[in-house]
Amino acid sequence: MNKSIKRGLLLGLASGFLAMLFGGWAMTVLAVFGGILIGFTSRSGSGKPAAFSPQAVALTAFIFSLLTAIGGIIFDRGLADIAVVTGHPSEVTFPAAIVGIVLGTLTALGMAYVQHMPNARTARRINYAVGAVILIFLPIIDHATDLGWAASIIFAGVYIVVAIGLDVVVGYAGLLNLGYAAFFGFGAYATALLSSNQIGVHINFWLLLWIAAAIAGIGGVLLGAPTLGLRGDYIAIITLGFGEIVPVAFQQLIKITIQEPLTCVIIPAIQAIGGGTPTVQCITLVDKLDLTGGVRGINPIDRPVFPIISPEDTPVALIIKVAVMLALVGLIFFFFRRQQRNGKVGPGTMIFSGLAVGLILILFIPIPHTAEGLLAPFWNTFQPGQFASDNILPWWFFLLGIIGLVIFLKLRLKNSRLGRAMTAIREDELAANQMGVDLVHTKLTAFAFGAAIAGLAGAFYSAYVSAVFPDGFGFGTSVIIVAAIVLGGVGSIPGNIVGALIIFLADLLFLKQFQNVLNGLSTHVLMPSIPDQAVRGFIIANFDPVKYRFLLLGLILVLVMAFRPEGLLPTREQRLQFHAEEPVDEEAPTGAA
Amino acid sequence: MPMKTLRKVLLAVVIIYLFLLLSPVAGFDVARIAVIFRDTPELVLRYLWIGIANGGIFAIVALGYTMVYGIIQLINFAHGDVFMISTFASLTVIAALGATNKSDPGAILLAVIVALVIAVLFGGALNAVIERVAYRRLRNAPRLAPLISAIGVSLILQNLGQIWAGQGYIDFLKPYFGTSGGAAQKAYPDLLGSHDVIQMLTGQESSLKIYGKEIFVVIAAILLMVGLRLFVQRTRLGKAMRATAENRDAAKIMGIDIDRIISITFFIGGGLAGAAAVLNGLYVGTAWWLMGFQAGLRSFTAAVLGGIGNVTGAMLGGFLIGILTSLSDGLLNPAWTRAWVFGVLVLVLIFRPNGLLGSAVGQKA
Repeated sequence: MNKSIKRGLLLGLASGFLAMLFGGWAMTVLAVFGGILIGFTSRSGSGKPAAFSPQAVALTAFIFSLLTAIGGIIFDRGLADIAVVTGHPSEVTFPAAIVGIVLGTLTALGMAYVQHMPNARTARRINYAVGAVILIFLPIIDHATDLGWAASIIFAGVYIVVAIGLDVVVGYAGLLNLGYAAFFGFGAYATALLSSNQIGVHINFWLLLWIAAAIAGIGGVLLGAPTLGLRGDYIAIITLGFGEIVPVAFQQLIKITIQEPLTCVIIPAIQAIGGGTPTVQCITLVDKLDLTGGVRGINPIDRPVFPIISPEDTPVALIIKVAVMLALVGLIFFFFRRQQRNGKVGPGTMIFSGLAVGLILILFIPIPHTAEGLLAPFWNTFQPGQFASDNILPWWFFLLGIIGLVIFLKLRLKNSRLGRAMTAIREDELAANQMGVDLVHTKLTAFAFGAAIAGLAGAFYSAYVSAVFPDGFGFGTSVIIVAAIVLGGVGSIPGNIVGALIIFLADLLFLKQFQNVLNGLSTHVLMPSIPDQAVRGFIIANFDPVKYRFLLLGLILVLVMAFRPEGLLPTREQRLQFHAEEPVDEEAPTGAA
Repeated sequence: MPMKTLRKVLLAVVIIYLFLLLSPVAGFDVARIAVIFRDTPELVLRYLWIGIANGGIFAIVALGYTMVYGIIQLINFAHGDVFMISTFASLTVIAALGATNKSDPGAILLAVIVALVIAVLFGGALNAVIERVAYRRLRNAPRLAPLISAIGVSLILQNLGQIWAGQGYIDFLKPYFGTSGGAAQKAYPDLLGSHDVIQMLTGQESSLKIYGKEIFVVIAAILLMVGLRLFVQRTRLGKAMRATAENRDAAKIMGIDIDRIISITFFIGGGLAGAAAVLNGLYVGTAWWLMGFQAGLRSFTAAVLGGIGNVTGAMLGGFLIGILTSLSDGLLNPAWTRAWVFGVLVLVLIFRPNGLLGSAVGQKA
């Protein structure tokens, strides 16, 4: 009982602090998510079935949501006014607090009950269903409760994809890549170039997505090739240098002039040395081509278009759309038949196939506008034309699709021969080579695979933002992504997701709002009470958490390495590696052998 | 084998052709370079000399990388930022002493010496503390762990440098901390002035200038390197360091206090970075919170080029990289210098992974 109080207090203080910065319905959302998490983790970590104690879970969740609600009330009814930040009226605050406390406790109880069901498979299915419901309805909840978090979560989602990709290289193959944002940049710039007015090419986004991934993948191989014979930390430096150059290239490739050297350099040089004047006409292949737009970047970029069949389609477009639709439906059918042949058609397969076919039909068959109804915004999203910039829904589901695809690919990779070869290289390159693992092939595939995933993310990013600039793809971004996967746990997909979410949401949501509130507090409370101009200047200059973001990032890296080197959600192997009974000595970099 | 030779020649021709075709994009304009060589050869000499002076600074920073790498096989990612923070430390000391380039020579000499001593002690202590806090407990962890920790330390130092550079000034500290936003470069007082030795000797102005401060930087760099080499080769402590680098376990069995030796190595490396910081500040005349990253990358390239773990190699590599960057800045396009340095690093690692003077220590598993 004591432990659950402590746990509730600890989590509640953190969440209460967050609620104290946002207030309003944010505290309800925090309380419910916290409740789900508390319920979900109520099973002991070792996997042994512990006795279900509803009182303990309820107590933890109650304390947690109570503290969260108190934080929210403090913000709305006091802090917001003092700091002159937008708060919420009491018609919102108190219902939100009460709903938060009740729902938080109830969801925790419910989730805990599910975790302790005797049938583990059913429990797992319910967990997945809860996760799916949250993912599908989050943007709608976000809109309904006026949180305004969804846009930030989409950015964090892009970096989740990038983190998952980087983790293929770092976590599976053990090659620290410090220039990974460059591949993200390749994907983004490839998309930007091939679907904007920059060079006047407009390729359909659904095709371009794969082209961008392929270009980034080729970039990965090109970078990987020179590092093949090198050991870990040299690879880190090579990739770092590479990652430094790519933004420079994006910035500088604005006046590309390529002249044929034979006619422009070599023959004139010989003639000049001979004392004559040049007689050959210089052939210019490319003259002052502006490829990347320099610091201005490329803007605007085409947005993806729904492939919905419409009466205005040309016959060719119509045929392509119908063909793609039939191919996709056929793919699902093929998958279903295979499961059937293996005798594995359960409710899961049925539901999955049905949902997939439904989604494909929604994407291709026109639906009439609905003026009202709860799901009206949902249906009205799927209309012919481009993804809207002000409607978060299509982007949200598209991104969910990409994340799902990437997770699927990575799981398949992990259990494949290739994935095992990567793990072998990570553990001991020499031994792996002796056992017949093809080092060149495996390492290059790891680089290409990781880079291609970053390319996908880049394509999404540039279509979503509809602009690219050279400075988002340098060392700063690379190192944040490294921090995300290190924090979450290298080699673990849940770790990648949680790490990226924590780091990027902290950066995009928390620090920003924290800055707002602190700024308001210092201007309206602290400032008037301080007479000294100098001290005031000092406080204005330093009371800004955003200025300390790299300090915080660095602290996270150092502290995680010092106290939990396996990360927050490590895989089993990683945990054992760092916490074995006997320190494993063979990894010691003494060079004694 | 004429066939094989022919193929090699063909390959070389194709590579040279492609290089000439594509390198102008990165500023390698043969015609322009030829004109500079023909019309103003003394300018090329000037670039070479700037490269040597810069290279001396790179070489001193590279020594820190190479010593640390030699002893614990860690790329001390934070080393460049120790250099940067030491620059700000020395800047603050000089400001506190009130020295400007209009002070009398005695005061300037005093300020330079005090700044040097304090920067050396500060850089050394900082590096030793970093080792104690961030690396020591990870000595037996998998290889990536200390490297990631080092990146973390580097980020922390960069942020501190940013604050030190003037984001968080308070009025009475203004002269010591800076006056403007932290993102901008800050001026480092030009204590040594710009006295052109050539002009003083010949009495006429030319494009080839050799400033007194450049001679000072080069001499100081060479003295530091020779001193370090003597220390490592001749003293008992140096012997212990070499023994630890050779085989840590065996050294331990022989009664060497490993932790102390590693601490001392970090202290010396950081101290060299501190000295380099003062020289760089006096020579280049700016201080910037991002300078550590670039200087670190270049110096690391220099250390690898010379053969990491090798003290003489680091000096050679430093001068070579200094000359390369200066020629690229002057004759090609400064924006692409990073790319050229990186290209050299890749080529070296492909064809001579152990560097120009390196033994096999760099690739020891």
